[in-house]
Amino acid sequence: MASPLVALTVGAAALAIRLFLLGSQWPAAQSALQSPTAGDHTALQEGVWLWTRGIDPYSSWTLHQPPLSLLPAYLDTLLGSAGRPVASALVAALADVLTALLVIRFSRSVLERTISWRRSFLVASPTGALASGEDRPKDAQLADSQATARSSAVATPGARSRGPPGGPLADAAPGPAAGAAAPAAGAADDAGSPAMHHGVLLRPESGVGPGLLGVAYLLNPFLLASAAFPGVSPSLLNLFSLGALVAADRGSPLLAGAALAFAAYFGVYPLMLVVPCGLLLAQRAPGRRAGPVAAMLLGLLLAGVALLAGSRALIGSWTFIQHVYLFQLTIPDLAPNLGLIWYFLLEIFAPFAVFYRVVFQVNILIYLVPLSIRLWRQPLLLAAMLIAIYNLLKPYPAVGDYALTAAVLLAHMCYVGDRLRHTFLVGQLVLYSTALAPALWYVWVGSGAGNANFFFAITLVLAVAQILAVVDVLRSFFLLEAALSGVGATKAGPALAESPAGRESPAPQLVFSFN
Amino acid sequence: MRRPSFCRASLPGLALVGWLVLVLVGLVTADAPSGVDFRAAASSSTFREQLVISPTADGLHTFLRAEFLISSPADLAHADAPNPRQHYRSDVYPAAVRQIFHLNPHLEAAALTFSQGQFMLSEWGALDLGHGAAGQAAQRAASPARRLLLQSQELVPTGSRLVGLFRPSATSTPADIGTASMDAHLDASWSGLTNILGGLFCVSSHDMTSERVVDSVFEAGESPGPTAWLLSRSSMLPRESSCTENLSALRRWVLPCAVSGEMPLGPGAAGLGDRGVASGGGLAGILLSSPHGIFSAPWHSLSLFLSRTEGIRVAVDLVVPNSRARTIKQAWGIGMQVANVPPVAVSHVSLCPVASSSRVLIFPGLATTKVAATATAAMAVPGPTLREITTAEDLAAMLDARLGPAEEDTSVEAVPLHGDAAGRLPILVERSLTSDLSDQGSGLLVTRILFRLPASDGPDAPSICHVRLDDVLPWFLVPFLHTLRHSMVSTGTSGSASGAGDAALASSRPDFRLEGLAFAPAVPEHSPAQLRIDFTLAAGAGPGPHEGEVLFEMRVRKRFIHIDLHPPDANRGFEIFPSEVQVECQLPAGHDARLIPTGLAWPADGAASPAMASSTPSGSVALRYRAFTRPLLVYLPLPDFSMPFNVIAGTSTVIALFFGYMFNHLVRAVVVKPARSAGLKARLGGLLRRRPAPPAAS
Repeated sequence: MASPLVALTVGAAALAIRLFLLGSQWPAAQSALQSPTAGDHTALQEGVWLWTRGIDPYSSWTLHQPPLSLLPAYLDTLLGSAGRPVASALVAALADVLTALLVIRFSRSVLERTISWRRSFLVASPTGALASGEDRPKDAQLADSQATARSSAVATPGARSRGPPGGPLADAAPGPAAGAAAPAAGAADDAGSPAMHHGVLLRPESGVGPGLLGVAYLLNPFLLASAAFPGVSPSLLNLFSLGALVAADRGSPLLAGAALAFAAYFGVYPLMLVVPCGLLLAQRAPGRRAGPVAAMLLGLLLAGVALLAGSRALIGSWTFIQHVYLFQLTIPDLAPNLGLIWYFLLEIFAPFAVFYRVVFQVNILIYLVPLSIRLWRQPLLLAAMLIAIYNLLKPYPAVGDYALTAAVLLAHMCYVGDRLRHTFLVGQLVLYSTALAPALWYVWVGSGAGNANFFFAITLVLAVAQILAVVDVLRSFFLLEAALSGVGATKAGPALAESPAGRESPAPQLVFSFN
Repeated sequence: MRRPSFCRASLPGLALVGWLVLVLVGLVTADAPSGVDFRAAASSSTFREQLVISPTADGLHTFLRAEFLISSPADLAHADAPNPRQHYRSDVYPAAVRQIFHLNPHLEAAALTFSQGQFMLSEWGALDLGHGAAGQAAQRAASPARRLLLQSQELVPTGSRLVGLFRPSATSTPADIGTASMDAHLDASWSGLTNILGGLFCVSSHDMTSERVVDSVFEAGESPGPTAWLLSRSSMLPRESSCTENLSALRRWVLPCAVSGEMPLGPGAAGLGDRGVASGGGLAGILLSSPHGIFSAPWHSLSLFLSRTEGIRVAVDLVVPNSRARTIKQAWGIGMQVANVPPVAVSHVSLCPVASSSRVLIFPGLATTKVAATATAAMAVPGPTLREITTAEDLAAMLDARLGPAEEDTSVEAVPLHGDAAGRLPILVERSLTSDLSDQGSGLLVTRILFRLPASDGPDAPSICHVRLDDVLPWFLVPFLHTLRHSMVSTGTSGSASGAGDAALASSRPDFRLEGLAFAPAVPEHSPAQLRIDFTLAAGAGPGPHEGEVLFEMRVRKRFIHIDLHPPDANRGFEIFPSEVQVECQLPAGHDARLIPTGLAWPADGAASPAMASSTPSGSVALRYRAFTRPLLVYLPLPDFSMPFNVIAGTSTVIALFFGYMFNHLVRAVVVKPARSAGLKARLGGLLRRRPAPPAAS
């Protein structure tokens, strides 16, 4: 966001949209869009009602949000506007604006890290070093992403060309085949030249700046749908999850730990982000890695204890542990949401109910270790993957959670994923499910004409869209990494050089294989 | 036909024993000494029977209650009562009940009721239990079991209800309600009770699982002490189909007199039969030998009360429309006519030979007074008619009395007993659950208390009603207490001048005071939510009756429940228990409330008491009754019942897709794959052109 004025304008617009939406609550879709663990404002109001009368707010068995969530709802009742919970809306909007700023920082960080990562290949490669030395001022180019985007536009059509065989290798090893694969781009002039190689390696991917990603987060329809309800938990969850990453990226271990504690307080699963946060901190200080990580863990511990103790002091009992955290682990409530699990558990044969609950929880955790091993050099990508995965698989997702998924995935799609294959399909699936979900929800719960299968089908589509997006980003990264790390230059390069130019010879391709 | 002849033969046998004829007219306050006691085995328990016939308040129906009391033998009060087999032949106390107590050592008392149809409280009136102010106080001071007995004489909800009173374990205190140990203690006793009652009386008490029960402490009113409290667990089912099996069970297991014609009488017909059970039917025979009459009634209820100390009470209540039965005899026989069976000859009805007292209580209503010409002399006397019946002929004469105006008899106008509006009950209750058309997942639960209070007659004769609203909501309906709102709509004084304006309206607005709100939240899949609201309505001295309604509104959310928890007919919806309203009013004397006299509490000591709303010295009338709403039918958004496997497979496929993709990308590495040979398209093209495919490029 170049100008503070623009930032201010966007923030104000987002706030206005939220306040406008607040007047038009959609109670009909509340249970589908808000999860019991985040943003169920009716339950919060009930909790406040009980709490102000000296009764344990969790005794009603409807409240499953941590005790601190009661405070904004309590402010609402103090302001006498329970019908229009302005306090909650303001807190949520503020959190959203802050999160948007964090999205900008996160995206910029992704961009910078990607460029430096590519530069590392460039420096390692003799031709790259030559190219970077002679062609353009490298630093200016790296600093201004927009300019770089424009400069690389020549290569983009080649990378985006439909044919999977041509694209990756053309980037990896420029040669006659690459020129043939992208004739319309006018890249033929650059083919084989150091400039082309330079452009490929330093490609800043797209013309989308981090500021635009922040705006996209703020105006994300998922987030706006969430903002139609006055609950604060989804916004705070996003804020603290992203805050922890950004703080770790900027080298503030204590802050990162505290933010992680807050995020885990509002939803258990962000605790998985402790790995990317630790990696980020460790990579900032190569000399003494243990120090920042220990500091982060200390911050996490202290803040966590403080939060729990504060909650205990607030409501006077430990019942919230059972009703908030055990609730998320044991999944007793089968209210529909946009996630994958509710209908499965609603229909599963009773003897297997416990088994599948365990399976689903393990299924969320199981990706942590292999992803960390594979992506330890890319903590931000690791974090993006983890966020997308737990938002996809967790039992009680709220619609606002998907906004964070979208933000972190978009950042990587724009700056890393120049070999994406499913962007169009993912976009269509998301559009399809968001357009049809309200209609089919109405058919089921509104008019009572259909049964749950109608809505369930839509949640499956949304899940498939997320899966394709996650896998696409990951795959694209691996391909790019392979291309840059010399797979193309050392192995495919000679092969290419020997192959005759022309349409008759299909280009070799980078593929996944067991090795 | 064997049956009639057999019955006729039994009557002279009974007559030979020489029963006394006692006809008592007017208010009889004490049991007459019974003539001959047929308790041949000299047991410690007595059996008494009573038939109450009274008109409903609208004058168009007749309320009938057959009530049987068996007092408890002294040895039953202890948990370690001797083996019931010893008493099998020697006591009118049923061995089956003795065995129930033997098998449930913690059980102190139980009340099982089931009823079908809807009791039209606004038309028929409330059951008058005669609990005036003194009665109310006495009831509050009664022992827990006694209070349960008195409660079982009141109106029962549609469906079935079981209340069990259990002795707490030695170390527990009333504060332990809801703890695990108390739950375990109660669960064991409760399941034993529901199973045995379900089996014996063919009632679906097996369905009264823990998620449908309400636990509370049943304290002895004003004498609290370590042993003065019992654990109460109660449960309601909103629907119960009563059938002749229920009657047969009562007859077979509880009542000492077999039903004439249904069970062969042996040589000892006049006394106790071979099984130690008296034959001859008794008043129960009237009811039980013609179940058609009971089951064709618009409303009927069966109730069974068991207690270690208070004895056994069995009652069959029903309301029959007068248009279908002009005499009581026909009231019984109407169902048989429908079934093309000759009506039971009243002469076949006998009294139970082992009963220490048999009485018939007939309350004159409009019908009997207006058609006095056809009624017996006794019928024409205003005031309740109490008869100690000793001969079947006497009974027959009594039952031949006209009940109400005949349909074809145009000379008699079917005027309600009380004025249409003037005699309305002061408090009535309705309940509804409304959902937005766009959202069946939540709704607004509205309880309407319709009130109509007469104007107060000064401080000595206030017009005030204490109302207690009890609501039990199943766990899948989540009420949000913070949305509970109450409002009062006063519709002003009916019949007053229309120009009275707002001032009159305001003066006719009674005082509403919310006195208490108690709530116990539901525990999902474990226990229901309970809501209790106490409030008082007091009318001022403004003109005319104060009329209107008090509305309680609360938002509820429906939970989405597992597919196994839906009933097989899930599309029908879930039936929710009726809410219950207990009303205690002090009204100025002369207020004409709609009441059905019931002959009231039949105290265990045998003293009969007058069955009218008792007057207090100050000139006000105490009125106490119980009312229920209809059960609610609640629709829950349904899952798919037909193919859970498809859902499981669909979700699993998507998750497997994700896992497979991730596995692929994380485990495999990127390698360069050499350029493939010519593509499929080229090969196909080659085939089409009947040329050999081009050779591979490398």
